[in-house]
Amino acid sequence: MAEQRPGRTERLRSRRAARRERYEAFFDPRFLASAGLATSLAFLFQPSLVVRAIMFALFFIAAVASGKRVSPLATLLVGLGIVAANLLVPVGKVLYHLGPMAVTQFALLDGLGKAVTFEGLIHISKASIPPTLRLPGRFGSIVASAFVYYDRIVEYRGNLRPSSLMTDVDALMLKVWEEPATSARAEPSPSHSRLGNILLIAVTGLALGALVLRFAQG
Amino acid sequence: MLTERRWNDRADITALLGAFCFFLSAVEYMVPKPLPFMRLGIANLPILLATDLLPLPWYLVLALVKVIGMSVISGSLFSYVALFSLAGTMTSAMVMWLSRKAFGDLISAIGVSILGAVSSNAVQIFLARVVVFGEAARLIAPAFLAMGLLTGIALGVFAERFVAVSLWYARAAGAAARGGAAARGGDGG
Repeated sequence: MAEQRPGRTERLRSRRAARRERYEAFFDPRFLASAGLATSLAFLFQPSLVVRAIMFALFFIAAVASGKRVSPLATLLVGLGIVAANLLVPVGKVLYHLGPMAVTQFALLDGLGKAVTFEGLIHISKASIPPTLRLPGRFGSIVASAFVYYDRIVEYRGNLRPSSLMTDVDALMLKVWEEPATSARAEPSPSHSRLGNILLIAVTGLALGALVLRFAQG
Repeated sequence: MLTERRWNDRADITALLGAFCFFLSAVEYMVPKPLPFMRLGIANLPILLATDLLPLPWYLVLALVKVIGMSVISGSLFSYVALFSLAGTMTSAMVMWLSRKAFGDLISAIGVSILGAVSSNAVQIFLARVVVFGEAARLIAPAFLAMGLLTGIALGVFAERFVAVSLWYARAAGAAARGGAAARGGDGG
C-alpha cells in the first residue's frame, strides 16, 4: 500500500502539468490577464450573493483547469474560518445557537459573502495570471530580469549548508549575478488560439452583463 | 567578470534583489499557514538589505517588484492576498527606510527589521478587520504581532551576519556609497 502513494501523487502531478501546458497554449497571457481583471471587478462589485457563489464555483473550476495547485480542503477550511470569525460578533436576528454561540443572520450572510469573495478572487486570479505573463514598460523589463535571476537561483547547483549559510548565500549571489539578465528570457510564443480569445470575451461579457443586469434591477 | 558599471546599475541590483524576494517567497510558500495572507515575512530580507544599497525611488521599485512578481508566481494578483501583500510590503519598506535614515548607525538591522515586520503585520491586521474578519480580527492580533516580532528578530540577525561576511554586499554597498557621494557633490556644485 505504502508503495502506491508516490505513484498516485506523481500521476496527479503530471496530469496537472499537462492541464497547465494546454491551458497556457490556449490563451494569450495578456488577453487572459485583462479578462481576469475585468471579471474580478465584476465579481467584486456583484451585489447578489447567489450570483457571486455561482461565479466562485466557475472560478474554482477554471483554476483547476489552469493546472495551478488548488486545494478544495484548504478552500473549505479558510472559508469556514472566515465565516466563524464573523459569527463571533453577533449582528442581526438570532437563527439558532451553536453551544454558547448565537448564530445571527446578518453575521452569517456577511461572513459567507466575505468568504466567497476572498476565495473567489484567489481562484480567478490563479486562473487568469499565467507565469508567462510579461508586464509592459521599464517596470515590466525589471520584473522580467528578476524572473531571469530567479530561474538561475532555482537552477543553482551549489551547496547551501547551515554551517556556512552566509558565505554560501554570498557565493550564490555572486554566481547568479555573473551575467546580466537583460533580454536573456525568451518572449512567449504568440501562437495562441483565437478560440481562447473568443471564450475570454464571452466569459468577461457574461460577468459584466450579470453585474449590469443586477444594478438595472435595483 | 563583474565590471564597475554593473555595480552602479540600480535596475540590475533591483532585479537581483527582487529575484531573491521571489525565491524566499517560494520557500515561505511551503510553510503551512492558517490564512493565505499570513506570511512569516522572510521575503522582506532583500528589502531590509537594500536600505543601504538603493536610493528611495529604486528601493520602492524593489518593493513593488516583490509584490507584483510574487503575485504573478502565486497567481494571486487580482485577489485580496495581493492587496495584503502590497499594503504590508510598502508599509514595512517605508518604515524600514525611514528608521534607517532617521537613526543611521544608532539602530541595528535587528531594530530596523523588527519595526518593519511589526508595522507590516499591524497594517495587515487592520486590512483583515476591514476586509475579512470584522471585529474578530482583534482575536488574531496578539499572535500575529508576536509572530512579526519573532520573524523581525530572526531576519535582523541574519541580515547583520550576512552584511558582515558578504563580498557581494560589500561591493554593492561601496558602489552605492560612491554613487551617493557623487550625487551629493553634483547637488552641491
